Amino acid sequence: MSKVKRLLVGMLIVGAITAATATGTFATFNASTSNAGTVTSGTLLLGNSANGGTACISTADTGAANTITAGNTNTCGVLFTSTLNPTGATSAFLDLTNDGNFNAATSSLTVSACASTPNTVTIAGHTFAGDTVAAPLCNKLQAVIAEVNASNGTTLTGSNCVVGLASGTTPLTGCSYTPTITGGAGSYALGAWNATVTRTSWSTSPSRTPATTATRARTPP
Amino acid sequence: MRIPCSRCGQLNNVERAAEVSFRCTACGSANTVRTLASSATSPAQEPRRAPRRWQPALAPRTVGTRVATAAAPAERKSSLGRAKQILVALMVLATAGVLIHPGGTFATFNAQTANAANITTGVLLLGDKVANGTVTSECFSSGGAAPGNPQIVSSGNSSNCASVWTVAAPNKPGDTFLAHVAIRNPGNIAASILQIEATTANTCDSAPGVVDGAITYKGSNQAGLTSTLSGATAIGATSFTLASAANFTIGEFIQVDTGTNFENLTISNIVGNVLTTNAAAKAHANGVAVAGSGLCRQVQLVIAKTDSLYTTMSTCLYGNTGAGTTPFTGCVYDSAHDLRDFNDNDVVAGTPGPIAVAGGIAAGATAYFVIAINFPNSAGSDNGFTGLGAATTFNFYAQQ
Repeated sequence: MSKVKRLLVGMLIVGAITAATATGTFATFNASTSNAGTVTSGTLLLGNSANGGTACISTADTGAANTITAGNTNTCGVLFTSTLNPTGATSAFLDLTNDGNFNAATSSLTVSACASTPNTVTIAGHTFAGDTVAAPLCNKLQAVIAEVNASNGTTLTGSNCVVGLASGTTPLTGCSYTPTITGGAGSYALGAWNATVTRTSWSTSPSRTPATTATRARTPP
Repeated sequence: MRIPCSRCGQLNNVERAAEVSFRCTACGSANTVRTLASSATSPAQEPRRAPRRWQPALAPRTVGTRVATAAAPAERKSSLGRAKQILVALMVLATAGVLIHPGGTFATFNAQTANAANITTGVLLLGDKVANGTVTSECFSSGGAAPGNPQIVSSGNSSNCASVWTVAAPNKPGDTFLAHVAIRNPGNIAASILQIEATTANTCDSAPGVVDGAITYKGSNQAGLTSTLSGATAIGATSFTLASAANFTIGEFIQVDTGTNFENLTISNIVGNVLTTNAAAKAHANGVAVAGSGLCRQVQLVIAKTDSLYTTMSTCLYGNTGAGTTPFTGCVYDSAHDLRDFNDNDVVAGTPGPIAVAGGIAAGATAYFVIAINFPNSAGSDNGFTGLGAATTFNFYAQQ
């Protein structure tokens, strides 16, 4: 075999081995374009400040984590704790803020059912209380809930008179007590609620217990 | 007549004949002399020998008589080697050339032919145009949205173009977004390969949250930090004890560990702080993060090739090809096709890897794609997904 032939055969062998074992890259013409796709979920939080107190957020503030759980609900400050006598009234102001970053399309106020419970007094070993069955107090307590223009304000705005008679002047002009609206239980639409907007409600409940409210006393034995 | 010995030059007396042999009287070498027929009449017109590459110097040439010797070894000693002869000849020619042709031109008869050998390379480009209600400008692989003219195609020939979704407002369950993407091959080379791929696995989730005052609030399904692993686990483990299993739910995906040890598992049971899952493919150290599924796992994805109006699907590239009509009949959203799955598995090194578009893209052709996402308003899209982020990259890659 001539030198040339031997050289060619050698090159063929080297080429075959290279092809069989090589894992390198090969030059090609190529082109690419990239498009990012980013999506974020919004956050809906409800801040609740009763009577000017510290805001309470719908998700429990757990310190460092501050994670919003599936429920995103929280129990906040008490609106009022009062002892009322007939013709008496009490009220509270509640500032609610959409602390999230997107607008809520709908919102609502849900007032749970009023529960009449005895407020007993013991005299000489005998306990006295009203009849919470035959004459529950909830049926006598007239409620007014209204949206007003500012914290502690008195001018109706937004949802206006939510619970109450949409006329009269007491306690607010355009939202007054009426014997047919007691307790205030129910769910009331408050409409859309944009992010960062604060809405204030003026609330009274219970109020105006009638003077003719019957009481039942238990005589001592 | 007297003939010199071819070896020692001694003149010897020999008789004239057509051919005569004699032995030198001085050195004893045998000599043979042959008289050439033409030499007697015209020695000057001795036929010229054809040029030879080398001329052995045997016996001295005599006019009209050639002396052939029998003493070859003695003759070779007196001649130059072949290589030396060539070199000497070249030197002579070079010297003559320099002396005779020191410069200038000389008229000659000549002729020549020429054949051009030109070659040009083709150009492979991608044009990328995203239309989300308003048409954006076309972006080119070589130079982005505003290429120069002429545009230099670099070795990378890769460019970042407009985002597929341009969403100003934060999103909520029930939201869907459709991006229309036109990919054009404006070059003159057909791409036999056109594929859609994610660029980097395991980078899909984020949790930007919302800041109220000095506090940042974000959903509990954030992928970054929810709990940690209490105790190392081995490959194949199905039981994971957490520092706290609060906020985890059965059926939910969890993300265990980070970096190369990252993996997704599915919770099948929870007892206390112990999660039961499918078998882990990787080992995990004590204390590594165990997080919720993140928004990426919740956002469903469909990629379809369509007509130029983006209304009629021709190929469902990513999505559920079963029953359903949203966003296309035969290519619908489902929980198995989400941003996380695409981002982690349809990368170049992933399984199954990039999504191939059959037929590639011919030179001058345009292919149309709809890339759609759905944030389902069911399937557990609760408040734990608020304040989270999901991001991936759709890379269109063409190759000759």
